[in-house]
Amino acid sequence: MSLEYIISISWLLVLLGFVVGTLSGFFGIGGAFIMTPTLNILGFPIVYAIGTDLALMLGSSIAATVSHFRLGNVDIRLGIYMLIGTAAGVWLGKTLVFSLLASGDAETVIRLIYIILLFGLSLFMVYDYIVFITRPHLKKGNNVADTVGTGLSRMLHRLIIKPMVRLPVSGINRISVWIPVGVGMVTGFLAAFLGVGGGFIRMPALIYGLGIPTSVAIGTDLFEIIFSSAIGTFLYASEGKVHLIAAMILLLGASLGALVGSYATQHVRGMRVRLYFALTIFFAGVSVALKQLGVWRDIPFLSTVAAYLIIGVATIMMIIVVIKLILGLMTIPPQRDRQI
Amino acid sequence: MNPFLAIQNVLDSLFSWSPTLYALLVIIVIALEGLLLVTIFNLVKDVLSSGSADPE
Repeated sequence: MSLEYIISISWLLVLLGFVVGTLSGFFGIGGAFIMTPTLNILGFPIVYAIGTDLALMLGSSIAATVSHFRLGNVDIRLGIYMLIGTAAGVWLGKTLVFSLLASGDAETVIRLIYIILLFGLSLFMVYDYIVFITRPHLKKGNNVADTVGTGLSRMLHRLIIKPMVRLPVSGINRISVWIPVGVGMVTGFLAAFLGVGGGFIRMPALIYGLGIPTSVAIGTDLFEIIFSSAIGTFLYASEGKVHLIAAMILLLGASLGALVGSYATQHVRGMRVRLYFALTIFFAGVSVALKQLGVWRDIPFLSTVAAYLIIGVATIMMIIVVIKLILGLMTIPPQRDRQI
Repeated sequence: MNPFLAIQNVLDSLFSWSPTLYALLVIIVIALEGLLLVTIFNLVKDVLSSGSADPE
């Protein structure tokens, strides 16, 4: 990958960084499922695409976390508890993957679980949204923006296993410290097992498992991504697999996008953010399924279709987020979600 | 000489000397760039929003 080529496509890299940065700040994800195949299409060998994307993720997650922190959306204490569990979960997941790979062809199984998880999560979140909008309180014109707490989260909050902690930013008065550690462990395990960053798993896990507001789930998830991407960047860079100049150019757009995405969460209702997130990961599932089909049937063309599909969906989502932010700025002052 | 090429040469030399130091440099550079850019963008946003909030 020559430097001249990187410079010649720099405008495209800035634009691409903006798309991924916007979604990162809006959904609380790293965006590897968008960036890695796109860089690959642009000519980056896959290892460089992953390494460069990890470096970008580090920079854009710092930018998005700073913006969310200013909005009061980052629960640092919760993030630290989860990090402890995530580290243990990642180790467990990696161990399981390596033992499965040693015993036979586990890649297909892992890819299938990934697809099922993407579709399952997206369909559940769409179902949750439909249940929400058909509730009687909305029919009476009561303008509720977000729901906090699920049957699972209420059950987890009731568990008394010392030490108990208070997480005021997340609106949790008392919870066993083992619950966030456990949620971190489960999501870290899944991320390492599937070979992904895990933002798309942690964000719903924080909402549905811990029962915290959507905006705080996004901010806290981004705080976690700083550490996971820093470790990944270090590992890839020490092997010489990060294109630093490309990552720096991508970050120019991604930092602005992260700011746009972060502030857009103030103007879009939490439940609507969940719906957009569900749609995005649904199409990510379609993209991964297409790519896998291409491998099974030996049709390389399907991999290209899969990559263009996810770039298209990400661009449409970015446009929606930018429009929502502009409309929000023009109409009403930002407000924190009203919750039930 | 192209400044980007000069930077790339320095980076390549550092990597061949110590990959660990190079990896740390990558993390520091990216983290600082992210922080710097978001600080600038936030400052611009604050200036713009304070200007629109106060017509005087």
